[in-house]
Amino acid sequence: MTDAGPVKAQPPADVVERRLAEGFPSARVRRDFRTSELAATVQPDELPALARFLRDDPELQFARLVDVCGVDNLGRKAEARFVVVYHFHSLRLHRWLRVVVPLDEKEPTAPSLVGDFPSADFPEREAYDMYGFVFTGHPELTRLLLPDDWEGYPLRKDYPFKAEEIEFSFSVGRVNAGKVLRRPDSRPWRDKSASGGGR
Amino acid sequence: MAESAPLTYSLESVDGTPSSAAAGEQTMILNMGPQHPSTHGVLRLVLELDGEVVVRCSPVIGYLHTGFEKSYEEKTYHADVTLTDRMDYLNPLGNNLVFALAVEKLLQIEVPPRATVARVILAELTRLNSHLVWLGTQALDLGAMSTFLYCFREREKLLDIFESVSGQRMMTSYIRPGGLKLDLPDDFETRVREVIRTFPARIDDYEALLTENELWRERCIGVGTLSRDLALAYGCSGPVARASGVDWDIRRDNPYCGYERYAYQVPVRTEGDVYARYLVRLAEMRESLKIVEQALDELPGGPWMTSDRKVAFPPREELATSMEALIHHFKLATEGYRVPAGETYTCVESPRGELGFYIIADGSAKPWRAHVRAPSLSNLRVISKIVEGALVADLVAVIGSLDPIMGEVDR
Repeated sequence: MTDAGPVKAQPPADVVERRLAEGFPSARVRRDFRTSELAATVQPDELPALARFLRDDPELQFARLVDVCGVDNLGRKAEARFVVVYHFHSLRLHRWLRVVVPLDEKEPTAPSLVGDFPSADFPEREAYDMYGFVFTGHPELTRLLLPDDWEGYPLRKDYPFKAEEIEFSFSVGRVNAGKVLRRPDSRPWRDKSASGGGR
Repeated sequence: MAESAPLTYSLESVDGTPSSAAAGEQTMILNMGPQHPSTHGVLRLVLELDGEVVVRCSPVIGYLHTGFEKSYEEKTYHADVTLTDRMDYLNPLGNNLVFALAVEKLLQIEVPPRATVARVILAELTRLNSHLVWLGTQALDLGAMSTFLYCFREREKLLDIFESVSGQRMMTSYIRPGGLKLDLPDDFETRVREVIRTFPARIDDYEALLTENELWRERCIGVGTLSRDLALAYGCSGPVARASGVDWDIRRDNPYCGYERYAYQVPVRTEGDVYARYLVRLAEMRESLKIVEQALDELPGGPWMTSDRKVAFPPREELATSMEALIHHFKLATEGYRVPAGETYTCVESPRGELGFYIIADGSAKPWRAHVRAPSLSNLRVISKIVEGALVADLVAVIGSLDPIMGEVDR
């Protein structure tokens, strides 16, 4: 494959990085600093093309879509609040590849991969169930684990873990005992407990 | 109106095949489960039946949902270990293991060799435990009561080992990031040797009861056939995929915990039916015993927990003499250790297949996100494809052969 783009002085030694750079240059590939795992980031509209490329490329053959899951980055430094993470597995390379798709915060929508990868069916429904992500083209996007009449999306970070916060000495006055917390800032206990209580 | 509602659970529109009900035939909608003895927990199947023949089958899950993934985010890594074994009650040590491996990868810490080898032994014993329960319940579903009793007799021996090791028969929480909770007990080797000595003859007994049994063969051969392509497309893994000709085992192809040091076979069949899954699992039990024996032979002495005091609790004897150790113990127990920011997808070969943990660490003592890739979820999803045209009675055999653990499916 010849590419008219700028030629890198040192082509990546890794086959996945190399093939992605050659065949799908719009995917941003990064390697996790600590775990050395590869992750490719693409925009939602490019996802089906990337998935097909990963599957059909003779050198890669990432034919198994192992998992789909959502992530909420509320209050954390990240490129987008809502992200869908796909894990592909290649029986040829015996490797996994993470594909990260940042979504719009107001309307978190991504194209469904069910047509090409039937294994996406349940996990996409789970991401819809837990985060409210809409996968366009999914034949039956209903709640998977929760009852159909459930309100809200529990794995979002603004959804409280407990229905009410318990009053401790460090949180006197801040907590209305018995009041159900359904506010975006309803997780004041998260960082406090990690740093040993606080005031 | 209420009767027609379950039809919306059907997923046939995935491949565009119209329902036969639309063609004007008389079919019946029947709920199987969630309280049905052969659904192995709380699985509900919505069946469309034409007489005794299954026209469509769609699994409805979620009855055992307990919000594990939310809980992971709210507890420290140390406390999260206890959630992992509650997810799959037949594979507690394997679930502990995958979580420990994922956190260790983020922490970048080394585990002492004694702990690594002990993990292999315990993970394989847990596989035996899981396959025994599977075999017993599958046989029970198909009317072979005595096999169930024999399997549970052997399982007691394994649970006794788990109890002597961790103090708990099922919810072990024994394998932790950094190593093991405690050292192995003194009689561990004797007990495991006893299992290695007696077990092959027991497996022969099961085979004598079932493998050539005409009734068993009639009920299993050619039932619930899963093709290789379908297994790959639906993300099946573990014995379900290997019985359909997918020659893939994470222990062999992406070795963790030093599995590459042991000699064993990965049993693969190509038939893809219930009988093939039975044969694969029985062969896996024999191979697991081989691994246990080799690992036990080379079990080294030495520490069982990492020396990194940022993660490991101080030794018990230091608590009585050292104020610093006491403070350290208290801080680790209340606040937990901090895991540097990073992401990992780590998976192991559980008795059911590819069990993966996707963990995002944000530098605090709690995971930002912990997602479980449950093998039972994808293995179960394929059921609606492989029972079309089967009899209702065969459906019972197929559910059992997929070995779904609902705690893991629903999390």
